[in-house]
Amino acid sequence: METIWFWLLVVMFSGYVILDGLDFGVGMLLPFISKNLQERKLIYQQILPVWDGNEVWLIAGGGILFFSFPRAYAVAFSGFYLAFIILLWLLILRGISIEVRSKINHELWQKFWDFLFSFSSYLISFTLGIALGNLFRGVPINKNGNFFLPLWTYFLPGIDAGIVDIYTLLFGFLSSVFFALHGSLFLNLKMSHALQKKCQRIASSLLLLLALLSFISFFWTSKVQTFFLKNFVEFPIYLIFPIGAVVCLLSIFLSLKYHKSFSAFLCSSFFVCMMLGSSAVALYPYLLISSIDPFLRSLTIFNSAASKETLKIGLFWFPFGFLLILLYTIIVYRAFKGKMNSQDVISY
Amino acid sequence: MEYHRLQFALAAMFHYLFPQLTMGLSFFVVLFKTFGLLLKKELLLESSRFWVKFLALSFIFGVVTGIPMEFLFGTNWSRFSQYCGSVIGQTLAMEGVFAFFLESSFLGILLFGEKRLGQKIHLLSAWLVFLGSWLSAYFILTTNAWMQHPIGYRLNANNNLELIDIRNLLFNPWLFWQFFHNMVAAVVTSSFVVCSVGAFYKLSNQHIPFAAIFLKHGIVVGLLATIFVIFPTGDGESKQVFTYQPTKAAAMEGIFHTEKNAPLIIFGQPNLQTLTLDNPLYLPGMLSFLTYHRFAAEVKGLDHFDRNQWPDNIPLVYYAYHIMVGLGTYFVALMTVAVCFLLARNLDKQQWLLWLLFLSFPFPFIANTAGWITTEVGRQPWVIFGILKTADGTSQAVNAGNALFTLLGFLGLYVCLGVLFLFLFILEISRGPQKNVHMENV
Repeated sequence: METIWFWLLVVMFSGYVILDGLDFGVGMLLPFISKNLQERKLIYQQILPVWDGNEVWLIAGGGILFFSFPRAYAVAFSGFYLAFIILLWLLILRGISIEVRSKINHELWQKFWDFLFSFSSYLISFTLGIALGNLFRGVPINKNGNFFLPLWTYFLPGIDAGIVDIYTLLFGFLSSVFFALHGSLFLNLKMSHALQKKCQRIASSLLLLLALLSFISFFWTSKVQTFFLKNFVEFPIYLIFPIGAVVCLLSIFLSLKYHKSFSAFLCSSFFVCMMLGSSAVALYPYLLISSIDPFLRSLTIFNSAASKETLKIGLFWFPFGFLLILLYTIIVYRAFKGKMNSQDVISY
Repeated sequence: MEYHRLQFALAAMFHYLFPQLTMGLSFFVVLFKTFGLLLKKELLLESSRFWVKFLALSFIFGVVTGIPMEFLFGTNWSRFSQYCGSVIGQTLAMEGVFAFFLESSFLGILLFGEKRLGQKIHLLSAWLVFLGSWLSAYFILTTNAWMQHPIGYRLNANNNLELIDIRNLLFNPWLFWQFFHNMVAAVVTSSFVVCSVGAFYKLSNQHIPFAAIFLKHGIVVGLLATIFVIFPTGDGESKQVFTYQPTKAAAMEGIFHTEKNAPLIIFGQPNLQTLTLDNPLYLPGMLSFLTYHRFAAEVKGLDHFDRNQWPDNIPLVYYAYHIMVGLGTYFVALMTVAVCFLLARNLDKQQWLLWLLFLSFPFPFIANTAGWITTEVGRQPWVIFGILKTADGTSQAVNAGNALFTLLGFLGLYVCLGVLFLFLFILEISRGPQKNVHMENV
């Protein structure tokens, strides 16, 4: 039962990363690919109808974490207190800047919100990666069962490292590069002509960087926590995730080469599922590893889950809800599908 | 603990300014859109387009200030979250899954899809946004109702609460009055805003056809909602407080001493030294009558209970409640007068009334906030009534310095957001509905 909810959480957060990831990426690329106002407007138009729907995946995922693993939710959120609150502020600024920007047609007004949008997209992408890094590295859960991490200490991984150290920074880079790639593949799908060319160029170079960073982080991680490989050794079937990730990377490359923009975007979505899947297999059954005593004090899915009855109740409504979510997401993306060009700019 | 409470209170109060407008406006948008299509009146359709813009604005501010709400449970109230997460996390997750997705997905279509997808789908998405926003409120209120009136749980082996039956949670008897009281109050807010914009256009002699529509619909809906918010919903809500949370009831009514023939306090200042009211103005016996339908009925005062059961800020509960009730009375009076002039087709000439309607829009926001202060501060010292004290729910790992840092951060950010929202709201009003017609045609 706990395992089911563990995987459902992985699914929810993968959904979040795939969908909101594309608008993080758009935010990161915005300053580099758009030359004029018209292009910017067009780019914004791609994410305006969908970004808040994308963000709901975070809210739903958070809610599911809250009730299925209340202890992990409570310990993690209070332990990463400052990082989480700052992340919340960034999410506020980002949402506001997307929506408010178009309200006034004035250069200074729009420049300001463009800046804020890109700035917060960068920081959020980074922070999400750093959060993943922290899950791998472990946090100092003490004998009371909680912890509090400062934002940073001296950036070296070790027992008294803060949230940000060079190991978690690597994950920050990894996630930012992925989001930027994902966003460029999304725009590649939606844009035409010159903008599309630009997206493809950016995507190809990001792809190489992503492959490089993925391998570095894979090797470093296997050194940081040696038991991560255990699950793969015991159940080789799960090797499908890391292998799938590599296959996806290659197929993004091929799709780009043969100008299959939809399959490129799809592969990049699968890629992140595979990466998160690999991480989940590696971590399982840990939710939050204690760096002080990984085997006694870590939060596992078993010691932090809600009771079996609660989880069972959740299974009554969740599958139904999940189907609805998929349905809404498909409806919305279908409603706004297709390539855009400058004639499609709507004023509102 | 003070900083944790202050931060949560600030975040919740500021957040709720927007959803109440969203929920109420989505009602008006559906109203205008449906009747516009049925009666084939372009003016009504245009009105709905006009208000969708405000709906979107308040929705977005609601979303961005709402995301922190879900996570503040974990960051600042980790012991509370751990203790009852498997109960209330359930409804919070359902809110995200069932309501919020619906609302945000179809708002996108409502905003950008009219020309692309045609009128039928556009109308459907208006209804779905309305449904989503009210469903969202239902799940959030379910969570709150359980904290007010916890049922259907048991203590498990790890000393945490777990859910026995989800039906108890979803159909908590507390929820009935609370939901309707709250939702009608949201409609009050939006009808005052709609009236206010209508009165402004009328007074400044612009967009006259729209001014008439906004005034007419705003006043009629407003009158029904302001009555309904007091009776039966407000009445029902207060009766259940008297039954299940007598300390809160005594604090909000300002009743220090248990007495028969208890007075209804109209005015006065609670004096905690003497445990009396200063400068009291009251109706003798009225409280007994309203609560128990008998003048001789005994109403329990605060002295009936241990001091450690008293809400920790009695004057605040008392004032918040009286502000809410006082404003509620004013709303009914204003809307009744307005409907009379509307029926007499004489509203346009009543400058004073238009001015009142124009300037009254902040009051429902105050009344809603005051109502929530009453119910939340009145529940103290409990966070889950009768089960968990607020002081035992905080995050132990987060020290005061860090909590103050984030409290100040939220304060600063929310001041900026508030200013920005007002600016944009006024901007859209000054652009007016007709310019919108022009833009749609381009």
